[in-house]
Amino acid sequence: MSEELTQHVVFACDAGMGSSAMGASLLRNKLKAAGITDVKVTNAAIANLTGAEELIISHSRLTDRAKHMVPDAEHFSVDNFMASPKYDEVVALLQSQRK
Amino acid sequence: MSDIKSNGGFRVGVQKFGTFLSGMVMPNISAFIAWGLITAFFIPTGWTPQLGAPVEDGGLNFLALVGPMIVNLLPLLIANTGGRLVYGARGGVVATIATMGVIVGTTIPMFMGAMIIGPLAAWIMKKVDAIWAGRIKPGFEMLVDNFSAGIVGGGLSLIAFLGMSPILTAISDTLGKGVEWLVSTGFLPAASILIEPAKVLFLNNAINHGVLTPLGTEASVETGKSILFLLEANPGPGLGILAAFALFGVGLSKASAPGAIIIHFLGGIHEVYFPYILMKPALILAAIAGGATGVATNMIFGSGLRAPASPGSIVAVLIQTASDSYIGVILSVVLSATVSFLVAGVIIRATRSRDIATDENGDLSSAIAQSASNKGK
Repeated sequence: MSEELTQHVVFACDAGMGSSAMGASLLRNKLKAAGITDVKVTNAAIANLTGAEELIISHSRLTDRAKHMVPDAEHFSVDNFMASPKYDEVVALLQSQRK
Repeated sequence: MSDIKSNGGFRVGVQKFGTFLSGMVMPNISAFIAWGLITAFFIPTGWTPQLGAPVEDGGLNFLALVGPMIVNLLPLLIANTGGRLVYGARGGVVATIATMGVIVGTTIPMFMGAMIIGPLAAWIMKKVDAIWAGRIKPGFEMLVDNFSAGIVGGGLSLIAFLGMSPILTAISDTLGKGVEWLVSTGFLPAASILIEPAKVLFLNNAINHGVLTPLGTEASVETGKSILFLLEANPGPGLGILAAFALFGVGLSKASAPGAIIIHFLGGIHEVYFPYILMKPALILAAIAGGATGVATNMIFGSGLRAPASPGSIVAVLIQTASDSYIGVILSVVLSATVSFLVAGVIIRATRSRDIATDENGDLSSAIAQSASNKGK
């Protein structure tokens, strides 16, 4: 795991409007609950990823595409947008960076 | 491993092409909604036709907006977004200029034309720019850039006007006739056999906005509504499947289904029910049966929406329902939910004892287990 602090998490989906917006809201709430305030969570369409993202969350069916767009980012795949253990893994990762 | 990889490669390819099509339309959905609402209020059969009437007849002439918005605004927005996807803002501008050619060259709204000419024009501009890239004398960049884009865009609009308009009109007519044929012969519900599985594989936007929205809008201009807007966006089939999980599911998937129903049915984010089908693929039969029932219902009642319902929430569906179509549209949602609920119920119950024995629902169950434990249950 890298030593650098991840400051920005991007939730990516096909259109960048629906499920990613919901996932980003959920993650934002979880981060807030965990007391992490210096991480920005945004959502985007996979086609609009810039290549500079550090940490990307996407549905497992779309992760291949996200990886293709941004090979260097750390990728997390979720199977269920509403309740995935991956959110907690991301929160735990961000927490561990900040200890 | 290589197997999985090539498989994934194909899937990624299909998804990418689909995203490219829907990516031209989806960012502009608000314009479709604006047009749908203005139409709903101000056409002679609308909610407030007196305001749509000409000033001399005591109205505010709002009806004048309806035609130019659909004929010019929507295709130009699509062309601009399509050009932008290929070659940035510059591509968007050239795409928009070129698409003006097909718009003026035809009498029908040129969505297909915008989706073909737009990206193509941007691609041509990109190739033309590459010819003299790096060879322009310093200080002349702006002159060359502006005039090359102006000349290329203007020239392409002439070519599109003369050469592409007849071809695109023919293609558009053929597609429209094809849909009419599917409706008149009663085959249209069979479209669900393709649409529902593709949806669950995250091709939902590609199908709905890449194909059905442009075709449906063209039909809607002529007849005031289109059944095509409901082929993918009907929230009924997903609702039925989630409801079946809520009632017959095993512990963990059961627990999350009610929340998913709210997000799916009211929020219109259909993606939340895809995982439930992916973890029990036989349920695709329930989605297909429900989807086909909805399509058949709308076909029998001749009902449809005025403009695309996006997201596919019941709220969006009802707002865009044509004035004469409430019974058909509402029934199509109710009946499709009922049918998918019944089929899903049978499938879930048939595998229930096995699910209880193994209590293994993949990520979903661990997901729910996790979130339940987080809540301290």
